[in-house]
Amino acid sequence: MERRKFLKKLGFAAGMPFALSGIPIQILASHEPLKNLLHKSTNDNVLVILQMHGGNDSLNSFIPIDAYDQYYSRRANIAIPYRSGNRTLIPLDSTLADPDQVGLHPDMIDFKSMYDQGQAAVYQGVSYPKNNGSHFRGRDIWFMGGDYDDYFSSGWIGRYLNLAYTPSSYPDDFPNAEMPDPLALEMGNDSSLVFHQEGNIPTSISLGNSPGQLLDQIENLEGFQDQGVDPRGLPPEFLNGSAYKKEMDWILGLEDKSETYIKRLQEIYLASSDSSIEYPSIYPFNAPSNSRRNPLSGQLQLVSRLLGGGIKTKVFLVKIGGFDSHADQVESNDTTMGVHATKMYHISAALKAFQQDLKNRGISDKVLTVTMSEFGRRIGSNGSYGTDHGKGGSVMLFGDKVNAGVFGTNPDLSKSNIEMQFDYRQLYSGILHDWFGVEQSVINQDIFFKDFFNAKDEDGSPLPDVKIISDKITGNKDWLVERFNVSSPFPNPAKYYTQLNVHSNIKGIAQLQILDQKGTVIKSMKENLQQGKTEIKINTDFLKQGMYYLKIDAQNIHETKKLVIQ
Amino acid sequence: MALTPLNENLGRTRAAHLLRRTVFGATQAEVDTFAALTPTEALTLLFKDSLESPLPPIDPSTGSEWMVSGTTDANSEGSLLESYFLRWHLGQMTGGITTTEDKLAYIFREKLVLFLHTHFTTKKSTVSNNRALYFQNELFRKFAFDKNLQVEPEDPLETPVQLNFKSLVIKVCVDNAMLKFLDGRLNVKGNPNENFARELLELYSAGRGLEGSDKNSEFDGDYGTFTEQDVQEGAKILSGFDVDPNFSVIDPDTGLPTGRIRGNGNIANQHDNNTKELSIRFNNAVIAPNPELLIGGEATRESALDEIQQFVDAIFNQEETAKHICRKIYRFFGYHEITEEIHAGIITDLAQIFIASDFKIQPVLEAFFSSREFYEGATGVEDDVYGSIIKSPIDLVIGHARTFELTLPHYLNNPAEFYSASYFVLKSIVDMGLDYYEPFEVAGYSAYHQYPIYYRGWITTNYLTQRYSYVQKVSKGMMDEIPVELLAPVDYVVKNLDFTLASNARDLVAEVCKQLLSVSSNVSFGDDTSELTEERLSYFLNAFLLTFAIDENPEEAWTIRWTNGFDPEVVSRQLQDLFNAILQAPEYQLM
Repeated sequence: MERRKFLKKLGFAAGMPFALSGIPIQILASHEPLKNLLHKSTNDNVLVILQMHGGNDSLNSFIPIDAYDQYYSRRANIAIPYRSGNRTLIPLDSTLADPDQVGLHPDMIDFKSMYDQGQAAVYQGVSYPKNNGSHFRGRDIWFMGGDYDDYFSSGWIGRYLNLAYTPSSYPDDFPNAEMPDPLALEMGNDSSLVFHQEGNIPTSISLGNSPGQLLDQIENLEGFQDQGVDPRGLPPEFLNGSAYKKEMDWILGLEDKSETYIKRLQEIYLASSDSSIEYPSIYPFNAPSNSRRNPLSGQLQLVSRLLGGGIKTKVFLVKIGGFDSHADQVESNDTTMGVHATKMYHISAALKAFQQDLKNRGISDKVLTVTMSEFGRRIGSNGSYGTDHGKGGSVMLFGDKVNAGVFGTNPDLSKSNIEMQFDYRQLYSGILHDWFGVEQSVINQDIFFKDFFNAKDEDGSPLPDVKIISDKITGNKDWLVERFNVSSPFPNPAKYYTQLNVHSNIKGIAQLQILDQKGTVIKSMKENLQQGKTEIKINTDFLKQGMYYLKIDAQNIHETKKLVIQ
Repeated sequence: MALTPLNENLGRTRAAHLLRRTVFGATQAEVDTFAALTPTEALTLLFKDSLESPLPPIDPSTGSEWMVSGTTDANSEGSLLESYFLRWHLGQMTGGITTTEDKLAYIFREKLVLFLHTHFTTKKSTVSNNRALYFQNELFRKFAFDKNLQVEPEDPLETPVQLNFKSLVIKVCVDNAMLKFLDGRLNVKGNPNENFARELLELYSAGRGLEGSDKNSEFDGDYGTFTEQDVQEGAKILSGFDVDPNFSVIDPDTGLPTGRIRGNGNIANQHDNNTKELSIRFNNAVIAPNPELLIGGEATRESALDEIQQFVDAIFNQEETAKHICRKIYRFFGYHEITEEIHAGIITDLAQIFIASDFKIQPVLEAFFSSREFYEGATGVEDDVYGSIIKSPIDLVIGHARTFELTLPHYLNNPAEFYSASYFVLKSIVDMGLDYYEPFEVAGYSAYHQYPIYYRGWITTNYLTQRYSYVQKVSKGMMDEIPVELLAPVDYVVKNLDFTLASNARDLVAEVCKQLLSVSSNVSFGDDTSELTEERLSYFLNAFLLTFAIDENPEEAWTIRWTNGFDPEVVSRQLQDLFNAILQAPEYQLM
């Protein structure tokens, strides 16, 4: 193809979609003919990795309730209030055992609501042996899927994609009828190690932030002609092996692959519709001005739109920065406010909107989101209203099919760092197996090179099993009923009074109505609900003998019970 | 592969390579001068101790500088001043307002300032103080040529104190911009903030060992080159300093502002004065305050700085530290890929030179630039480093300016126009992916640290388009609304090519490729050993001759036009087409 045509195509493709979304995007994937036979992914499930750059302070995202006093004493200058204050931690789940109970940062209200719907999970103490305190090395380890002393130049997703599409090899055999789309897409201009292959280019393109301008520039570029000559710049063969040739191959390979994918991305984007729901854009409270804008909304909206258009890309990487909170993680006069608070809000609110957007498009059961951050932070705070680099941290998962819950328990707060309860590769092995349907033996032999389905810690003791995806076919009903339910009235038959036990996983107000057999409302009342169990006593001495109904409505509760008055 | 000294004249290919890597590229006259010199002779033109620092930038609102004297209400607002500083620095890279004889050394010094900025990186949004950025930039300039850098003693009979890279590390530890950037100002006794201590070890000195190889980590918290203990103890050693907002504390060694101590008068009461012990990675070195520097047993600025000195000495006593710095140098000036063989050879050799020359950088650079391994290596093409670096946006923009003798408006006499033109340059490099003084992460611009791709990260489809677009716009002699002086293609050919040679279209194409592209020691039509293929040269030839399709016999028509001076408009358009094709090509992205 002549250069000019290539660049023009690119311009047309780039112009429309990204003018609307304004998000630079990268196409990444990879290659390499494989020797081992592997099993293709047989489903159309999608994984979104949400990268939190800088090391999230998970102990202020998920606050231990049972050991709150110790939590407070280790980090008084940044501790989220519990028993008093305008904004206090949000107890997540009253059905958990006491030592496992956690409170959410007050800006994670949307996380709470997803959790209550059975759409969110959190794993405590996710780490790996000899956790590395370097941002860069730590990130590389999580992306490559290795041990602290491994130096793979490929990432775990890159290896998975290799295997999933064998015997087709990237880039030569792509795109093809089976897989017309980029294997993975990364938001932004980076090309992260997670998508790399051994010794190969991550086929990456970026479309930048000002597509209109880009289009103009391409239109106006001069000097490209097609005359049966070499418009691209292939070096002569005798330069094979030189560094110059390697760098030229990099540039040329990138140009070639970009060309084919961009048109396709544009088609999908245009064939899809805008989100029908509004994503959060600005943090609703006071915060440093450059922290207020929600950096995830645009990225997730774009992912949702491409998925709505039928893109077959398996893995997306979205990013939020600014977690390296050595100083001013919280406001000195209000520990619930500040930079970290905005991050908690941005993630919770954007993910909730994303789930709803996917649901409206009818594809919310096809998408799983998992967070990653290079390390957790220290248990004790420092003197600058911040925290230094630590080790273990929490990982969140979101999705309709996720096995919801809190896994693992709160960290031992007498230590300096959050200790390991799960190896991060247990979660990734679980995702590949439960979500993408990759055989365990393949994961063990060719992706993580170890068996994380029977994982052990450094001392050889077994780590708890991990189950990423819920078995429940009927959705989240059981999950809800465990946390939101109403007992039968007792005594029943009743004379002077009857009583109901209401379990709710959030504080709120219940509306109670007594109806006769025709459905006429005899009496209405309101009762405050605690988180957990609330006993409601109802006076019945004014009712005549006969059959009645008790109707109870509250958030996540809509029940009607029979009541006999004798 | 170890270093082999090169003791012969550079010749044109090596001269052009050396000039691309050190001064962003050169005019043909400069290439010709260097071609007739040995490396040792050439380096005397690049390293010059006598250079003065450039005068600071001017604020057009006041007509005078503000970096030294500070601002008043009459000055432009801070964000604009910050941008002026960045533009000023880009302007210095093109040579500022220097005289011809010092120009190469002047530009090379700016390239070293850039190198040091990529190493000891910073972010303008975090520092949020353009004067602090400027003084840090000046600090790098003072240390750029360090071979003869020393502090003259008050008593002329005493031996002068040598300043070296270790001294620079110490200065950076208490530099105002760095104290802000990595929270050093918040690091106090009893409440250590480890941010800077960690990056000092991991990024600026000890490093993480050769990327992609086993680090021999032996226990939890051990990274092979340093440990978590060193981070924690290091934070205590570094404690007790604060940003000096008035820039009134002056470092006597450099004459530049530096951080202040937290405390009362001479007592650094926020410095942790206890004894610190480093890990086995630094031979369990014990860092303790020197009692002679204490006042009444309490820490002072001098005692705290002395502890930092002890700490830095301990870090550099570990050979791996020298290797880390030399890997940075090799990747910046040589090639990004460091195999075990190169590590055991070139990198180890450079590290030995670094150690033997008391940790001065200049002797390392001199040895590298005077070795065969910096050029074509020993055999075949495998160890050839010509054209092995993908140009950064700055390399591209400044390199283009150098080759085409682009002159920006005078930054002292005509600051308003200077800032308009250099704003275009600054904005362009940001569009190409280099957000100057605002790298995404604390390790700096990913091109200089991200294993395994390094500066390949500069190339994405969008960025490539921005590169082509920039060259095209500037070739027309305009930076947005501001006219700039530079050689148009026809002027370039008149100045740099033999008139008769240029009359032959094929010879002209081959010669322009040789002058502009990095792998071009042999370029000619009809030659199997040409480093551009016949097809590729034909493409350039067609771009040159066929764009207007007005000639029945284009090659002959060119010769007639050129030789007789016919139709100069067509001549200049044809040459414009040729230069566009060559400059908007993958080959031109390499240096």
